[in-house]
Amino acid sequence: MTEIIRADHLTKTYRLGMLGRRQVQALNDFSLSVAEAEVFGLIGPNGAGKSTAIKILLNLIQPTHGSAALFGIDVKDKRARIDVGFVPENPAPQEHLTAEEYVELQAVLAGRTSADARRLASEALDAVELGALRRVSIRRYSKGMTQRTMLAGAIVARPRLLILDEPTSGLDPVGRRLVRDLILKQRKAGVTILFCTHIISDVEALCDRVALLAKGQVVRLGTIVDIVKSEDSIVEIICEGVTQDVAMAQVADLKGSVEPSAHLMLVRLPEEQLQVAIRRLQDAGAKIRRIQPHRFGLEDAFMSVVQSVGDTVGGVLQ
Amino acid sequence: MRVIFALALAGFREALRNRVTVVVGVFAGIMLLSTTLILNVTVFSLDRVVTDFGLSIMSLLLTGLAIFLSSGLISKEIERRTIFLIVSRPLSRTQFVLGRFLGNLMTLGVLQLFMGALFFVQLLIFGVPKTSAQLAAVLGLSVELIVLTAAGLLCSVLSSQLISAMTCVGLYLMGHLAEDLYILVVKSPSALVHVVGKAAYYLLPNLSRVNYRNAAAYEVPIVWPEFFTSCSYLLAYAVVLLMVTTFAFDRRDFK
Repeated sequence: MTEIIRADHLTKTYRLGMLGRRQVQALNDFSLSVAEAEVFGLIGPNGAGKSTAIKILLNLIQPTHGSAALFGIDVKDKRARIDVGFVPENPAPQEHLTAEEYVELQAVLAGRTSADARRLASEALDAVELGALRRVSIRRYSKGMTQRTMLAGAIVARPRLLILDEPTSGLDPVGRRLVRDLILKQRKAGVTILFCTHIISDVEALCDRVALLAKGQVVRLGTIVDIVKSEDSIVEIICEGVTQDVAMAQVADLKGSVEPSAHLMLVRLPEEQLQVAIRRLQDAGAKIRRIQPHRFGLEDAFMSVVQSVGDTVGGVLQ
Repeated sequence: MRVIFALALAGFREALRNRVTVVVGVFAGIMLLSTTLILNVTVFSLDRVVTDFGLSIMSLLLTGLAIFLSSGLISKEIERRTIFLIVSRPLSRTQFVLGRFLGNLMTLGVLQLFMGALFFVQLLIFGVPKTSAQLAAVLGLSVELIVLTAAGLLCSVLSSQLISAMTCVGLYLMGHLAEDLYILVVKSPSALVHVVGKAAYYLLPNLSRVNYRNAAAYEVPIVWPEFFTSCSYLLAYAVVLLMVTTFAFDRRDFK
């Protein structure tokens, strides 16, 4: 598989204040490799360094240390961005332009001729269902329509790599569905997609691989199944005949938790404590109804990372 | 080149749809056409008033607009994050700076053409003789606008629109007073004032060198070689400003 994105030991430190005495480390030894036709998700709490990583890949900011390449070309070289489409977080296009003018401009900036740009812009605007409103000034658009215009601008030159920073943020369910469908369509066409989002369901539905970021570092990387597997093995015991307090008293020292569910109790604890817990619960008068492995979601993994790193909003202050 | 032109055209379209540009254009038209009112309240000769009033209005409005547009050209794009959508494309930052610079010049050029046409039509209506000094004044204003746009662009890369605009106004005023500054400095007994004053004189763009408005009003004959030397000097100054802008812009992070 061809490597489309490569980031090697990227570090980015911002200086704060007039004299720059205080520093914030937004990225710390960040490395990443994304293969062709992969849909790769970057997730992490606010200030984890997702947007900083994306901006370095697009040469919007320069790393303090490390290097990055797109299609094997250093990101500082403009040729690295020939086949790249980008939608930033909360995009603000030139609002006095019409959607048609904006998307055509994006195609010309990507190296297409004017005639080619006109044809491609028309196709891209149809793809995001904005064809009828193409000659309306962008400042008259709703947020969803603006976001769709940005997507049209990103796909207009038929890029081989799409970088999307929070593409569904602030969209209604219809808009989100449209964006997701568009991503799936691009994925089917073999386009490599890197996107960062807070919406875990989007990541679960779309991504082949995910990197979980915290404090500017990749703390977990792999397929969603890998990441979920890497959580400790947890089992659930569903029982009845005991109160929540009684059940909790039996499993508290076993790192267990108890949740009431209708007339039943749901006890969660590490797998290695299962036999002890069953015995104690039965001794306390509980009837065991079912034992099942606890299914982790990506959200659980995300929350576990957030809890483990604590509050790091805005990067690590030095 | 296609990329630079596309950026310039987009900037031009945006500026023309900006209410401020439209208002300035309409206001300029009204002001130029209101010369007849001035004629009723002045004791000076008609030729002088029509020429002086027309050129002054043109200069005042276009200079104001050049400062307003150029000082927010890049800072506003950075603030609003519009720049992400352009700079992330396969173009160099130099191309971006040149595109934005030319877009602004296109806007100012179209407005100056419109105002210049109105001005010369007025001269025709009032039967004011056309002189080479009037043409030099209009061309000199164009050069002045190029320098101010380049200066505004540089300030815009380094700071916010308000600070950029204030710096540009200062530069405009000092640029027109550069020769007076030099005369004052030469007369000063202090060596420090000499050094600082002369440094400022050589660093500031001497905009008064292309100010031919008085020459036009008093029908002073133009020495064209001197005019072209002044224009070349200021155009070279604008090129240096653009090079510094590109240098600064190339190193900027867009957070």
